[in-house]
Amino acid sequence: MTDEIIRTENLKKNFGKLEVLKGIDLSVMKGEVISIIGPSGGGKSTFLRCLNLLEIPDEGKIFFEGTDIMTKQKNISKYRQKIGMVFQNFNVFPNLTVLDNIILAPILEKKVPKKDAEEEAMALLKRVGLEEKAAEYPRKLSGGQKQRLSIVRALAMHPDVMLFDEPTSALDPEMVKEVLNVIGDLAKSGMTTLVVTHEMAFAREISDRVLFICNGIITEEGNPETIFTCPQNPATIKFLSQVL
Amino acid sequence: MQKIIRLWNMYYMTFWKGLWGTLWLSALTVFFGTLLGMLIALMRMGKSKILRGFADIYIEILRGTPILLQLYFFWIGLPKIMPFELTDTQCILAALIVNASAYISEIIRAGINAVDKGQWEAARSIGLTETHVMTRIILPQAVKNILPALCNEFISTVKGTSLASVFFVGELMTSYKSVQSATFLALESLTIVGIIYFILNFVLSKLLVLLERRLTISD
Repeated sequence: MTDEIIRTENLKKNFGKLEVLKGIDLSVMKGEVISIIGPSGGGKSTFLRCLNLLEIPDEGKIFFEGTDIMTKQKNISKYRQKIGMVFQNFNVFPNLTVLDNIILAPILEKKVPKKDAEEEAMALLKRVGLEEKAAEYPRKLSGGQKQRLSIVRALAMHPDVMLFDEPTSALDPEMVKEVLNVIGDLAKSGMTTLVVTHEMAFAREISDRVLFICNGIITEEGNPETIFTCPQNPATIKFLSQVL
Repeated sequence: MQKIIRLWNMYYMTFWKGLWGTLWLSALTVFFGTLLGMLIALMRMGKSKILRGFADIYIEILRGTPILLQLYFFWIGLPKIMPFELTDTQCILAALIVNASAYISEIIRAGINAVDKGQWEAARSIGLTETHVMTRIILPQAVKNILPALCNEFISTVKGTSLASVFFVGELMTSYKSVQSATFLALESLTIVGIIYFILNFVLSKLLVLLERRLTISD
């Protein structure tokens, strides 16, 4: 856990006149599991979306394994292949079967032979308990199943980093756990993980580090014990007293 | 009623020919109108400001002027700028295609915009190239939004081709004109042509409903 995989320097993003990110500096180590917490509209999701360039930052730099990725945006899709992302609203592809959701990108962009891609996809589906759904269309899946599918869809590209943007916020309560378990297992297996979440107990359990983002800056960071038991920043204290 | 039947018996070949003319004029218009419309839609959604501006102006002009004026414009103008001979039918067909493309491009654009933004983001996030995002994820979903409106456009195109009779391009309305001038039975021949139009569009719309249902089942 000594190699740096992602570094951001003074990352800024505006939407019109609204400054959403006001300068974020962060260094992420390989294998590190980071939870990002904070009030809504504080810039957590925007920060995450900047990391795989779904939002293009207005200022600042992002380094991936030491390379500045903002200067060579031509190969943006190649870069994104290394960064898996899971969204709040699942965003599985309704026009493709469960299996095709997973094998589409490996076949198209990595030229993996179809048979190999399918074999791997089946193994991934088995890992998250969806192997029986391979031939179904996503509309037949529950929210929790869709989210597990979207996780393995990202994993099929063998990303170096996984980003989770409020992965359980759109789920019915009884489905939260099945998704958190998958993410937790993944984090424990050594995947570099950044997760924006409102599940404080989960954040506390899996994280190596917790960031508190509020008003577009990291106002506090540290190991989960420190953040959750004796937060220093008044904003963190106020937020945690409201959610815990 | 008897007069109508007698008229039909005498001139059914003319009406058939007219129907045939209407059909292929409509088919060609919709086919090439869709191709051109797709191009215009892509220009309008693309990154180049020049192309976007061009597409905007193109659509606004075609939607803001009467189709009959456009037909005249092409009928008079096109032979003057083209280095080779053009028949009236070709000029009128070109005008119909250009006119339809403006409406169809808007249908396509709206259909693409109606696809959830999350689909774009998810497709990009797994590392698909922009072309693959469009062809594998967005367009297949957009087709379901586009098809119903495109079907309506098809029907209105069928009716729109009647304007070509102004230039005696062989289609249904032109066959009315020839029968009417030969027999002076205006109301009767008009009724026959009206019935043919009605049946044609009725059958078309039923077929399109079937097609639509097929497509939504697969969803």
